[in-house]
Amino acid sequence: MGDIYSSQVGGAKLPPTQCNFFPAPLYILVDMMQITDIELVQHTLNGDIELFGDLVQRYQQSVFNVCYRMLAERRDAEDLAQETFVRAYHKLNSFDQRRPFGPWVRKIAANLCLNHINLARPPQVDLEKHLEVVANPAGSTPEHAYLSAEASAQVRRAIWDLPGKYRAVIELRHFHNLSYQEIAAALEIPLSDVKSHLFRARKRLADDLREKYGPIKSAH
Amino acid sequence: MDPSNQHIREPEYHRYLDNELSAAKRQAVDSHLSICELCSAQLDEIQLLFDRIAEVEQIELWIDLAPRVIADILERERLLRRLTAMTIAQVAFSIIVLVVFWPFLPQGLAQWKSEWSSYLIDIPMLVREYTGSLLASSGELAGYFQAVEFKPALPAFSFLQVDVSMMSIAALLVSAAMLWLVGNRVLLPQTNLTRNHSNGG
Repeated sequence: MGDIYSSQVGGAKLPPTQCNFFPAPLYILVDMMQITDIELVQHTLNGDIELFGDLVQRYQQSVFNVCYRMLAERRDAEDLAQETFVRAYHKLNSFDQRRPFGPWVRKIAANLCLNHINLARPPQVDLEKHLEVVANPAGSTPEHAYLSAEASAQVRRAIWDLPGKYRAVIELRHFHNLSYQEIAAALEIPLSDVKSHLFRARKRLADDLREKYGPIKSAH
Repeated sequence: MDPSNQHIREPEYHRYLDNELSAAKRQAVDSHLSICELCSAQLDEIQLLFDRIAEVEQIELWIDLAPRVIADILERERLLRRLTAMTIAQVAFSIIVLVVFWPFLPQGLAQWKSEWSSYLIDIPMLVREYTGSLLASSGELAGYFQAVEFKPALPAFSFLQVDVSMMSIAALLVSAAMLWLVGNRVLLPQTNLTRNHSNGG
């Protein structure tokens, strides 16, 4: 199972000879698409807060999806995604620049959402409304795209029916591809809890899907 | 695990698919799966669930969060600077007020004490008298208490015995706290400390 977000990590920097003709700010503008995440982090740490906006734009979709899968409410997910980036900005000094930025910021989002779920009352989800517009529709025909979106919505609804702690482990294991040990560290829970939470969460997911939609089969 | 007759426990399927089993256990599971159709079928079913979760598509974000995030960060930094400046101003103001009024305090407090001491009630004495009169009406018991010299004393009133200089320190602390509270009451409402200040409502 690969990291579903791996394709979004920033590209490589242009060789220095190609940008020596421009002063630094212009170089940044011209070379924005090529600048790596780590360079954006370094520019931000050097006080160029506007460049943090580029990091936000690179990862806002995936961070929003983390929040949406965990919170079940678009508005809450947008607010928590925004809060995630603000927290990330303030924690940027502690970010290990040898590691990719995406998983780090998504982990912050997952923790923030878990805290939010633990503090807030359970969301009143209108299940019939949750056939959302997907970012990159799968399938070549509208019918196939619809079926794929419906299949995604079924799983999302089943995840939303789980308690917060189960939602968090499903999120970190299946969508962030973290190991048990990494999940335990991220959520600050014992390893045995990670194993039992994951097992119970999947069992409930499977039972829920089977009960509502029949035997589990692949969407594609 | 004996691969021939012992089925795989359900949690182990999950750890197997998550690649969280040790090499030896993984090998044992592999050999059992090669001969057990029941376990293979169960594993396939769990794998289907994993596939369904992996197929969940990303939802489209309709707004650009970047301007909101930048505005939020700048707003919080501005508030933090403002609060820091206000705190420093409050501390400075409190210190100035205390320094200016310090020479007048011992004198004022001594005067306050002499004026108010005549109005203060000696509660220990009242308690002694009250209990004494109560006990006096109960015959022998009263005699007993008087014999053991029951003299309750309230330690809370011992502060009246301390030096005026200590009293003035306490008064200074109270006045500093009052200044702090008044300062907060006046200054904090001017800062818009709402969480969603940059959300546009």
